[in-house]
This record gives sequence, structure tokens and C-alpha cells, in this order.
Amino acid sequence: MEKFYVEGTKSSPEVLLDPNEGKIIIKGQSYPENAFKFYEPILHWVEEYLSELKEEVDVMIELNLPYINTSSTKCFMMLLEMFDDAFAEGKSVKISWLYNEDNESELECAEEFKEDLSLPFELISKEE
Amino acid sequence: MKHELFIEELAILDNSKKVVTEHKNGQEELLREYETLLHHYEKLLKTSKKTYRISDLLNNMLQKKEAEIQKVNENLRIAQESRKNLISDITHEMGAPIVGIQNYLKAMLEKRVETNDENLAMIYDNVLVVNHLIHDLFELSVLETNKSSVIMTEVSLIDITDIILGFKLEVEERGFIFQHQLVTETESIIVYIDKMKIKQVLTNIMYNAMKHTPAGGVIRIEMEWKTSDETSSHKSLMIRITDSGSGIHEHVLPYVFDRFYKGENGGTGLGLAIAKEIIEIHQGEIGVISRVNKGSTFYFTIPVKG
Repeated sequence: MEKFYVEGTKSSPEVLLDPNEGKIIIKGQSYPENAFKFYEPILHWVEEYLSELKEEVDVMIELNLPYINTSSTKCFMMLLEMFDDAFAEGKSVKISWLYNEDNESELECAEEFKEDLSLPFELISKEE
Repeated sequence: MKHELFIEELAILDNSKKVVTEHKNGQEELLREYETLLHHYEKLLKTSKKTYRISDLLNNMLQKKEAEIQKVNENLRIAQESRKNLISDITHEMGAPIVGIQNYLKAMLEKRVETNDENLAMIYDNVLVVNHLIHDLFELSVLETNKSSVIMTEVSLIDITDIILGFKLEVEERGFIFQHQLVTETESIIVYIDKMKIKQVLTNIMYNAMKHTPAGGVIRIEMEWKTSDETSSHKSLMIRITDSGSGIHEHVLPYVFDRFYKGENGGTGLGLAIAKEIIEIHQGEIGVISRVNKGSTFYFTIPVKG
């Protein structure tokens, strides 16, 4: 699989999907005009990657999203469900969600996302 | 319909509709389909609820940020107003003495007035006023724009006591009675201040006190500890300077720390404004209590590093 990278913009996050390092990083604010258009290629990539993934490989997912609009939230839930299903199948996937200590809402959102998931999901406060 | 948000769910719905219309193989298939649909419906509800909650949380956050931005805007607007006023104040304050100098010099050159010591002295006095004004303005402007011009160091309370007692000589030479009441546990206490700037605060207040007190009056300095209401571990040092002078009318009391507020006794009107700026940079409080003909008490606090 090929590495996938998209630069962050004012309204969309930086996305790095690296099959060699086993790293998935999504960082920045997410309120693109058409969320599904933005996340579709990412969802496809992750779907393919997880289906091919061997159980011994560790995948680190790092999420850092201070703001997500409603449509992006839906896309994110789809993404997280994929990771959760992979975990249920025995794959080694782990999520770290970085949040800003001063921003209570960021933490509360992360906790909402975490609520129904079984895979390892760590909430880490950023020091800036 | 390429980029649809609920594309999966719509596909499921479509399929279920098709099964119902085709009505193939009777009850069993319909029931299976119904169960599948229920499962997906339940999932959709859960997803929707969560999406709403997350959206609400973030909208709240946006509102708070909006409020913060409004506050900053308002502060900026006030600062801009203040700057405009300052420029007009400066023009006015400097204008008067400079016009005086100009008129006198012109009159001398045109021989309408004698070039004698008395007139030259008058011009000189006006030059001093302008110089003093420029100096104070510069000082205030440096304080306001460059907070780092205030350099905090550890200063022992003994040093502060020394500074205060250093005023005794001059106060008495000018014909006033100097009284003081200072805190006793001075040895080990350290405050974190800019010593020269705090000395200046004291100087400005002391000179102000002396200007407004008739000869023979009392100038009294007191020091005491103040504990903040929230936690008793947050101590401040309060210094009070009381004079037995003419006092300040309650109507003008809120304005005494304003720039160019001069009261009746001249000066640049910037001394107290400078003192206030210095104390605020130290995160202390400054204020005055006064009654006409009953004298005034100027006070300020400096926080003691915990």
C-alpha cells in the first residue's frame, strides 16, 4: 500500500497514513465544505489497510482535532468503527487522542468518541 | 449522489424497500430483512445522538470563543480611544508653556519687552515644565508599551524599609513631621519587585502628599501584611501614605490616577498615573481614601511571592 498524505488547511486537518511505520495521524481543525468528499479517500485507504493488516503489526493512531464540524464527526465515527472492528478481529490498533488542557470541550468530545469503543483509546493532554 | 454523508444507511434503506416491494419467498425473508433493518436503525439512532451531542459541545465552545473575541475587541477599542485622548491631552498640556516661551521670546526680539533676568527666568521655568512633561510622558509610554522595562528581582523587606526611612530627611527638611510604622519580621521575607520602580512609586506619592499638605503637617507611612480572602497563603504587603493635607473631593477621587489629572497644585499630572502603571505591572492594587480637609491616604500592595 502507498503512503497517503494531505497537507492541513484552515478548514481541514493534516492527514498522514503511513503503512511502513504503522502510523496514522490526523491533526487539525476539520470543517471542510464537503466532509464526505474529504474523508472518502481516507476511509477507503484505512479499509484496505486494515483488511490486509497482519496481527503482529502494531498500528498507532494519533488524533488531534480541536474542532470538528457535524459532518466530519459522522465521518470520524465511521473511521473509528473501522478501527474498533479491526481490534475485535485481533489486530493491534491503538488510539491516542491529544487535547488541549485549556479546552474543556475538546476533552469532552474525545470522551464522547471513546464511549462506545473497545479498542485501546488514550486521552493525552498536550502541553503548549 | 457521489459524496453523501449517510451513503451506507441510504443503501440499506433502498435494499429493504426493494425486498418489501418484491415480497419474495414470503414471511421468513421479510422477517430477516426486518431484523437487519432494526439493527441498522438502532445504530443510526445511536450515531445521530452522539453526533448531536458532539456538535452541541463544540458549538458551545465556539460561543465562548466568540464572547472572548468581543471582549478583546472592546479592550482594543478602549485602548484606541485612550490613545486618541492622550494625543489631544499632550498637545494641550505642552501647548500652553511652549506658546508662553514663544510669545516672550518674540516680544524680547521685537524689543516690546525687556530682556532681563526676571523674564528670562519665566521662560526658563516654562522650559522646565516642558522638559518635565516630556520626561514623564516618555516614562509612562515605556511602561505602557514595554512591560519588560520592569525588571523583577528578589528584594528583602529590609531594603524596602531602608527606602522608606530614606524619605525622613527630606520630609523633615521641607517642614513636615515624618511618622512611620513598619512591619517587624523583616529579616527573612523576600519580595519580588523592581526596586527602583517601587521606589519611584513611593517618591511620586510622597511628593504628591507634600505638595498638598501645609507646612507643619504630618506625613505618615505604614506597612502591613494583608492576606487575600481566597487563600491565607497569598500574602501581600500593603504600604499606606497618609497626609494631613487638604484632602480630595469625592467627585474627583475616581480620577486622581488618570493621566494629566493635576488637582490644584500643578506638576505634570503624570506622577500618579506612572505609579499606577508600575503597581499594576507588579499585579498589585493601588488606591486612595480621602475626605476634603481631612487629608488623604494613598495605598498600594505588592504581592509577596509564595
